[in-house]
Amino acid sequence: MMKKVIDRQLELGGDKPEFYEVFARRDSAEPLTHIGSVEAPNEQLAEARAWFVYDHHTWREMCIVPLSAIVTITERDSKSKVKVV
Amino acid sequence: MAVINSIEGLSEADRFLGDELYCIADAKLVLAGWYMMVLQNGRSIADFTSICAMMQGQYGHARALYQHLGRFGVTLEEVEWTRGAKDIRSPKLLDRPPQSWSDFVAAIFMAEQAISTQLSAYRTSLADRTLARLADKILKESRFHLSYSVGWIKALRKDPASTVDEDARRRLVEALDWWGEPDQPDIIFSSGYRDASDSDLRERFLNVVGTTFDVPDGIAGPAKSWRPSIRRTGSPGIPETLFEKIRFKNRELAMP
Amino acid sequence: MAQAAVARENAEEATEVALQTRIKAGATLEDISEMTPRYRDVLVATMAIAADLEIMTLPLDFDAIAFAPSINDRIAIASALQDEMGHAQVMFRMLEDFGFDSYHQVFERDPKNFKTFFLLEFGNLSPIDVGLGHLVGDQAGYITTCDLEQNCSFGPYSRSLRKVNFEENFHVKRGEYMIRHYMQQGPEIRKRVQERMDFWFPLGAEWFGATDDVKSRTDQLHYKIRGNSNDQLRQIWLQRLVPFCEQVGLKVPAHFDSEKGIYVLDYQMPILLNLETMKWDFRTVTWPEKLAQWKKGGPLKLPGLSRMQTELWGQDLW
Ligand SMILES: [Fe+2]
Ligand SMILES: [Fe+2]
Repeated sequence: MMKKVIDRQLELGGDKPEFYEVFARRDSAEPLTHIGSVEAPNEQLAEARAWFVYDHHTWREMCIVPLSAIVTITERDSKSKVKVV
Repeated sequence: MAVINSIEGLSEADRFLGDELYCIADAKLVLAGWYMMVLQNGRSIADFTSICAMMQGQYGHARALYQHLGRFGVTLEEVEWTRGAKDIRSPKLLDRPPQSWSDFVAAIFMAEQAISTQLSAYRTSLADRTLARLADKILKESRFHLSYSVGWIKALRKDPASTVDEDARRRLVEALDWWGEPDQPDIIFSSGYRDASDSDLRERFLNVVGTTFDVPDGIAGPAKSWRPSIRRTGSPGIPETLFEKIRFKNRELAMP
Repeated sequence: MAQAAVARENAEEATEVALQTRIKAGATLEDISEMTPRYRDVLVATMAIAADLEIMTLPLDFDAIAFAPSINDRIAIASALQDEMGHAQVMFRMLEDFGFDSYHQVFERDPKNFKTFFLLEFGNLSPIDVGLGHLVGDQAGYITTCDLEQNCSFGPYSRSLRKVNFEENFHVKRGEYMIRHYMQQGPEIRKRVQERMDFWFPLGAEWFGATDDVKSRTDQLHYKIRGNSNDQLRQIWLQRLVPFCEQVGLKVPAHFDSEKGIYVLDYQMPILLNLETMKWDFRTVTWPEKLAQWKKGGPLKLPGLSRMQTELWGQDLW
């Protein structure tokens, strides 16, 4: 039995996890919506995790945005730049 | 492909095709078993989710392929229940258990790439349109399995002490066992079921692997005992211990 | 000095009351900055338990996947577990915003400190338990999370439960489908289902916690973190489960009391499970005795969570 040791730099991308916000729409009538967030050390892994975690619909469109790229307007003083859902 | 009413009526090409599809389906069955066995070793909550999803994906594809094999006389009864370890036709690559997370990532990368490469040659098949559509659907659904392993390889490589490249080299040799020697007669290709020969597919596989890992020149082909019906060298079947873990249990409680 | 302290306390009390009044009037909080420390503590405790309950399904469902009878069954249970891990991910992600480190919470925290429920701490013995787990356990969980979705005054948490509840509903339906099927499979399997239901039912009933006479107006209700009391939630569970069981021919220790107009248990909570025989002793005990049993936990809890925190490779796999 070996205890899992998570290497934060490698596996999380830093001391704190890197988050990617997930946006999707089901069909052309629906607006692109923020549906959640995943954490990953790079884009490929973020893409896969987003696809697998949020697979409760067959999305017509899905994309991810690094949380660090988001510029807050109303939430300037908040601890959470984007609310989870 | 003409609708086949009796199994005896299968042509030689059909029999070869049936064997190959069985091998591909079993590859997916055993790969799904890998995901199951490794699930709890996941390194983040999102890994638990992703591994569950990939397990289902592979089982779902395997099931669809077995259903397609119905026209070759294959039944789910046989697939799930009457077979033993000796009858499973998965690639040798999946016999040896992963030795670490990095070996796991290297192995699933090779397995996913190998299976998808082989299926890609059926996508344009005019001889069997149903199979072509199925192959296309499976390939599309496998895309994120590949991003998953590539993303992990990239993350692991950030550590200079990472063994992922060595693990991949060993797994590559095991993976190539699936194609046997280059330039053997290939009736599935010559009869038009596949749009590429096994030799070409082996090359195609090495090329895609080359985009992620260094592929050494003149990597050795397997010995002469390669059999197309099981797509391996040596004796057929998977280790008993692996079979015991991934076989189905509690038959009387199967849901319809 | 003392006067200053009193003044501060009064001021704090006033903000608490102001917040409670706002919430009672139907206000929804969107951000941590709007919370009082007490509100925040209650909310975080609620979310932390929810997160632990979701993650505990990993060890719980693993065996169920491994002993599944067919490709289809294996896909079905893996799909349910995938949902649960998605729920855990959303819950732990939300806790990150409250300063939690989810890697520490999941992979480094002592398994003893996970706040899971008794119902999730027993291994599944066969696919019958999988069906009953969905029917009894997911049903109980679903009722709890529906209440939170409908009533929680913290908007992001309520919204995050939409996906959760959308999926939990499928788990409950799957359980009903499985148990209905098993109950049509002849006397031998019916008997096996009944024996396991005898085990599962009291676990489900106590999922909702102590009865209201012991614990009624909690802070969770004051702050509208949730809307219904323990007994109210338990009643909804009984309303759904008991008629279903009667319909398929399963006996459960509860019935409809036509005088009171509600479902009632045939025994008085709390009762203890004998962990040696795995049988319930229906004699009523005290709540401290019950709490002690919960605190000790079931046999799956520590080994299951430890497995999640370790890695096994090579010959340890097969
Ligand atoms: Fe859940
Ligand atoms: Fe559930």
